[in-house]
Amino acid sequence: MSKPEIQNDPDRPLDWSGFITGMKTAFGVPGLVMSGSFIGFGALVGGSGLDLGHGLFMTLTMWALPAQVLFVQLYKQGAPAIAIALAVTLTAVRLMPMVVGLLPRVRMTRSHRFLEFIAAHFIAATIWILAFIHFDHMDRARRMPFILGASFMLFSAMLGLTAIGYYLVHELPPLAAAGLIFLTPAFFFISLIAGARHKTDLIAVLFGAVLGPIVYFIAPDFDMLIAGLLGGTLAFVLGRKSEKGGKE
Amino acid sequence: MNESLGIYLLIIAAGTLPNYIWRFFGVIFAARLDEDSPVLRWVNAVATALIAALVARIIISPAGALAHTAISSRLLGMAAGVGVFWLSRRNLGLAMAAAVAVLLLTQSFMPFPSPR
Repeated sequence: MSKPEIQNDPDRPLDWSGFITGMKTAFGVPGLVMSGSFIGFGALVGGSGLDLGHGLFMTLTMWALPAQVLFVQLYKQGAPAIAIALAVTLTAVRLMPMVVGLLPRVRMTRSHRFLEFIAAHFIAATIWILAFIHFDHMDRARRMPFILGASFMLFSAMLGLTAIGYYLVHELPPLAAAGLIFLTPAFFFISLIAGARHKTDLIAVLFGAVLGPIVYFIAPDFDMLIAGLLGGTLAFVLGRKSEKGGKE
Repeated sequence: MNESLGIYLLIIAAGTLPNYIWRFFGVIFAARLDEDSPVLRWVNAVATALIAALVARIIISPAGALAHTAISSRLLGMAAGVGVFWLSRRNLGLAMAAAVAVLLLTQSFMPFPSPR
């Protein structure tokens, strides 16, 4: 089997046929899993007493499910704005390495920075996975259009699914509605374990899950922030120690 | 001020901006950051622990209809999801389906008060 040659020349113009490829790719397993979690988010918004508009606005302007769910949960708890902002920003830091990891593989000599700021808004776990799967056998000139195409498709679909989840949670029998809301925590927890690349990540999951509820009784407004900082730092230190120990 | 409008402003100030800023930095710093540097690994560990705390919080005191399920059902559902994820060789879709199925199955044998 002969492998077609990949054009990696950054001086060519963008090849917009990648946009269609991206749109098609959105209909795969990663997109399906994402769909389930956004129906769950819509259901969570509906169950928390927020308006559908708030849920859609969050999907539109945040496009990062952990931060969105965190926002809803902390708002429901009545946490102050500063506590919400700090917790959101801590979950969002992980978006920076994703953008940093993807953009150099997309960047063309003549492409506009403006397009990169647009593309960056869409870069989150699902786009990252799609790019990870497809970039190795895709011409460089098609990659930016690919990201934009897949994003356009997923973005439109997730806005619709947020609304569907919001309405279903009120229309369905209570038990089925509970199942919809349960999609979100199930998705997060399994993704955390699926995405763990180092021992540190698994220790962090354990510490976060145990510390969170404990801290809640001491500092209910800042529970997740403190559990994240404390549990993550402990996991980081322990993970490094055990790695060093393993090497010697 | 209208309460609903206030929530939109809160979303912008405490949601949209603190979220997008890291994507913005990503564009600025692209090609100058090593994903395996200690700082980014620490950041990853903190975000992981924070999301795990969020999951624990949702499981212990959930919103809406989920609040009317038994905590034992929610924990069993979660365990089933993780178990199926390993057994199915990392099939995320199947694992999520299993988590919800076990929650609904265990719960359908228990009394379920109406949320309204």
